[in-house]
Amino acid sequence: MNTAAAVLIAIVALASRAGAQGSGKGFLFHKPVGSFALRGGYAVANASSDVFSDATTQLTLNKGDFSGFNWGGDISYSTGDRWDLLFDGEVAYSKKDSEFRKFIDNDNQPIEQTTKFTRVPLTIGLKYYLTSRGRSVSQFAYIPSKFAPYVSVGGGAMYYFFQQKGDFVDFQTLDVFNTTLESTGWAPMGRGAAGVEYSLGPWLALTGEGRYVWAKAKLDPSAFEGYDKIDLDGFTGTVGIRVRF
Amino acid sequence: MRLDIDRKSNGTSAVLAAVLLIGSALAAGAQDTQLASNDARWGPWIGCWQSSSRDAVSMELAPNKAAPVICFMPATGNGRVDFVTIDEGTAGAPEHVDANGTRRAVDRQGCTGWEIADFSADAKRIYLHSEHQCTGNRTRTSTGIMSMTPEGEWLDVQGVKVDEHTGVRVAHYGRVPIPPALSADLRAEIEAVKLATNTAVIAASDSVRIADVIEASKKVDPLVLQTWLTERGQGFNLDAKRLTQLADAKVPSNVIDVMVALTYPQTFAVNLAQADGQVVQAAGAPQVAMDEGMHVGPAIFMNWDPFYSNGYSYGYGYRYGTYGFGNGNPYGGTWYSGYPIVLVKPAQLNVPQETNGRMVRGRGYTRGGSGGGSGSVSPSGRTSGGSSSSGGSSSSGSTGRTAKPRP
Repeated sequence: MNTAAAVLIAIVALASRAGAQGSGKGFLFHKPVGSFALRGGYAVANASSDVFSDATTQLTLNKGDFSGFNWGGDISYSTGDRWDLLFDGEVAYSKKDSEFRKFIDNDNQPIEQTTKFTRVPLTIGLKYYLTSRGRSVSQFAYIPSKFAPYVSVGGGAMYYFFQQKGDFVDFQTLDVFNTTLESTGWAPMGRGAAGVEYSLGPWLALTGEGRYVWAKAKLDPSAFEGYDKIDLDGFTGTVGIRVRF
Repeated sequence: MRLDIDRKSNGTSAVLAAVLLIGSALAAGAQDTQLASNDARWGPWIGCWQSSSRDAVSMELAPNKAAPVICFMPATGNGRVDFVTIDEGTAGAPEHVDANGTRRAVDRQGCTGWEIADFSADAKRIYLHSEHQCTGNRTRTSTGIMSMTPEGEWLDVQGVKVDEHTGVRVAHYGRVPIPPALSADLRAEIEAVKLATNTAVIAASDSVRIADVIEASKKVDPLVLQTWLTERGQGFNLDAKRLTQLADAKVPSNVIDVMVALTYPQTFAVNLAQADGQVVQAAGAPQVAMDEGMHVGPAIFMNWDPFYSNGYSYGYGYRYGTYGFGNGNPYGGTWYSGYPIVLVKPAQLNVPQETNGRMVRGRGYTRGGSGGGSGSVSPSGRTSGGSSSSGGSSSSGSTGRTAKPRP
């Protein structure tokens, strides 16, 4: 969190320095070429595939435990008055300790494990502003709009990491054993998003965005044998800072 | 209400003019009381003027010859002022000029058309406009602004456009003492309103507001307005709201650019010269050259301007030279051809230069270059000998400071 705060401070400082040379009171000396943004929020995992169902059935987990905080950012380049080409990446991460719902060990202690679920979508997309995002009143004066709602779509690949580590029950022998089960990989993905930007100044804007991602990936059969593809879908809500350049 | 510069060549015409004015005043009734009194809007101009020193370099005066002086005296009538020119110690006959917002037909030197002059709403500027159809089926339009600068100078900016060719001339005039050649009665007319004149100058020298720019944009060519703003050099309290106000008022974007540039001089510089950086002087030969370059023949300026009238139609201009014919212009001024260019100052001018220093294993910190032949100070503080190296380059800046070992 401290790192994130430092990054945010650095961005604001960078924007302030840039603004000192490249902007006036509420306007820019040129139309922005593009922007970059840092966002933070919460990613709700759909978690509807059978691997999640089994986990929530056997362990003290529920579907919400696969959701977690999300950090991300993007770099966009203006391709038109209302269009941006967008390169976007983010990380959604969850970690939850659990125990078997129905089993304890021979010392009456819970049989504990930790489940980690990480999704990293990397996409390229197009962003369309529903209203004008700014006005050029001259070659050296560009006034960003106060509000700029937008929608965007994109496609790319999602990296995922699903891990369960700790003590488990061998349902064949009821032995308790310690192991790490994990599966990682890449999967094609798509996403759609809608959001709004609120200008805090000529260089800075506050962003709020909701997005949904679609992706399904194969599980490593050596760890998760016989399961369907893992459901990587989910909704993400974020707020962040956008810096125009 | 008309633009007019006439020469009071004799008493009869003066009486006739007075009768006509009185008749006009009676016809207008009480609605236009200015017709029956001096027009205070000319107040800032009352007194005597001469080309300022900054324009003197463009004059082509004979050695020991002073630039002519023009003196304005209060006159009765709406937008009217009397003036006398004093050249080589000799005062000419009194004349008058009207800036009353009415078109005046013009027919001279192969061109016919009209011209008009009018005060701004706040009476701090005079807008000028003329249009002529000339032989060769060419249309010549001209606009200009007369105003007072914060320094109390009379700033005169005129632009002329022929087909797609555009040029602008800037002239500055400074207030000078009343020449001895001016008659006692005319001198008395000026001195009688001296305090009022000073007050009027202060009022007219006020800073330019956003509303003034919007008004001026409706009256003059953008080039003239750009040049006028640049000459004044005044910044504005520009923000997004005011910029929007300007854009909504359809102020040309290049005018807004100049306003932005003047407001942020640390970021922008304005170059009034041509694209290649050459400033074309108004005087004599360069003016002819410019006219030839424009293929439009000699420059003809609006008749309201007592310094630049060619005089063929108005009788007094010959004393000022036939501007544009290569006879020299003793009244100075600078011609700019083409549009002002707003330049963005390189960012490195505003940011302290960073050095391309490095940290080299075994040698510590070093300044620029790739190896370099000079010695450097090791982390331990010892100075090692330099080693030869070739190739590569790195620039670095100096802070002017030096270091020494701790005692």
